[in-house]
Amino acid sequence: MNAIFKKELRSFLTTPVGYVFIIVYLAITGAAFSIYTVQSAVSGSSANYYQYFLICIIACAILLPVLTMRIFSEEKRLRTEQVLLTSSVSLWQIVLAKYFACLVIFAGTELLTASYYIIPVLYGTANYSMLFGGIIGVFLMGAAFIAIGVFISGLTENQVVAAAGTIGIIMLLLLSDNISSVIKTNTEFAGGIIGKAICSFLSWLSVLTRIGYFEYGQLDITALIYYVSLSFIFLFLTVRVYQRRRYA
Amino acid sequence: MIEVKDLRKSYGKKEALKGISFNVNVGEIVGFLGPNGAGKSTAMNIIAGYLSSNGGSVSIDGHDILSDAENAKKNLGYLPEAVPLYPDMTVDEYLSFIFDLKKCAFNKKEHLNEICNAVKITDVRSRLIKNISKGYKQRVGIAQALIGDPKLIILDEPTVGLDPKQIVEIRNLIRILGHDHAVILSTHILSEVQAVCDRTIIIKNGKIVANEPTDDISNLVGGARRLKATVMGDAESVEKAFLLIEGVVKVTRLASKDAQCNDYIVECDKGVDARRNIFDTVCNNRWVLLGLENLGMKLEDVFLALTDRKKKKTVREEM
Repeated sequence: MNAIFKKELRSFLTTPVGYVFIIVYLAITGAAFSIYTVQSAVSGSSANYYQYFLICIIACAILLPVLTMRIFSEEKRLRTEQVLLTSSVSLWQIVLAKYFACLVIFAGTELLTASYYIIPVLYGTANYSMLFGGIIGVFLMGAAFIAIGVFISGLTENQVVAAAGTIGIIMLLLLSDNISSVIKTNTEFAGGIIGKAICSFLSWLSVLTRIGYFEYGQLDITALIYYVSLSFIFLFLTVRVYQRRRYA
Repeated sequence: MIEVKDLRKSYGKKEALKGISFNVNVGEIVGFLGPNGAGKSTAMNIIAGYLSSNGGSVSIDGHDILSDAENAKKNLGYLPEAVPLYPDMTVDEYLSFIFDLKKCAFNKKEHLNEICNAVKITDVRSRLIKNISKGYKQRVGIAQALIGDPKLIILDEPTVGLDPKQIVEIRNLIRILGHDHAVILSTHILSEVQAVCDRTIIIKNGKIVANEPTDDISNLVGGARRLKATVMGDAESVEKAFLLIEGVVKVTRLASKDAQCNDYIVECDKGVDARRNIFDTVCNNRWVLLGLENLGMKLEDVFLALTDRKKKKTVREEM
């Protein structure tokens, strides 16, 4: 497992993919931090951390699929998955090694965004629980997005399809609460038992509502369990995909 | 070392393997021979644990490939048909990764040096894999299969893309490996099996049609022993005399420019060695024997004969 983890980490740092992710993510979040917190404070209004974290989430939704798109699809295209699958490493170890390699790159990048907080700490009144709660929330959400990306990458050997598919599922999870609201307000279907169940499920599924607690500096255990469960489910599905393929 | 029992695999309705069974022991090189689509690669992939079977079992050194995969795979080195290489790695980085992946207990530097010397890739170790030639890529693929000194080595088309000199080198390497390993060599190149393997398994349409020592396999089809005799003497008399030898069933004179010296193809019954009688006949008639060669039956002929025999049998059954 260690060998695969190191190989993946190395490949992120010896090919443009890792650097593109880190640079673009830092550029987007850095600009958002500057606009919604520093400049707001300079112009006299209060810093809007909620907007900043929203931009971080959107950046994750678009950039994390770029990080994960090649993780299995390239192995398939190059036929190198045969080396992994015929080694004495279990499927879970292979999937986890790849997942953790992506997670480490993302965690490192997310940690770099903490350096932005030097400005409010030095020159303003910083709400530490809100700042670090937000970082933890974005990290947990990103971890779930990575698991989705790993799963989709295991389904195809086309990296573009993998990235597009991942973005699609992430968008569905981000907008599920809005979709539920639209159904509730615009259709009669929502009045029935099935409609209500679907709307409730979509609202429950929303990854956005749960991150709100973190942004207010609260550690919400149910949200924590939700993000960890979401990650686990997609990693489990990835393992199942490979098990199924063996029997295909 | 490896025991394959009643292995079955279907892709939808298509049966790729119809219950194949065989064993390979340490010190044995077994050729797995068959045309495209015969089920060779499917069998290799199942043995290596890449695919699962629909029935039967594979046991490597007593460990089942499904229920005890980790221990079974520790004894396995596998070169798939498409060499699995990471183009953005150098040869050294790649072999080092495989070494770590296999959790080898050897001294890494010494072990990799030894393997690189054996497959002759020392001069390209620092180069990116995407920049080396196909022949080198193939050899790097063989090198990764040898890492960890596995007891069972499966090589699927190992000499594809190599030049004739490299082919000879790799065949020599396989022969050396065969001394203290169990080697399965999957190929459609018949001469390769003849040159390297102790035993040959011929597979067709998912079934084993022959599993014999390579030298003996021609006997399997019940074919005649074929000798080529070059004799100086009256052609018609030679033909008649040869036909009188016990066990000789057919004599064919090959076209020759020299009326006094001709080549004869002498076909004998199964199990008959007519060489001594041919020599005696030539001597008794005061002819001159310039050459006597055992043509045997080439694997190409065996394979065609087996295929042909099966076709005829099927036609008879349908009628």
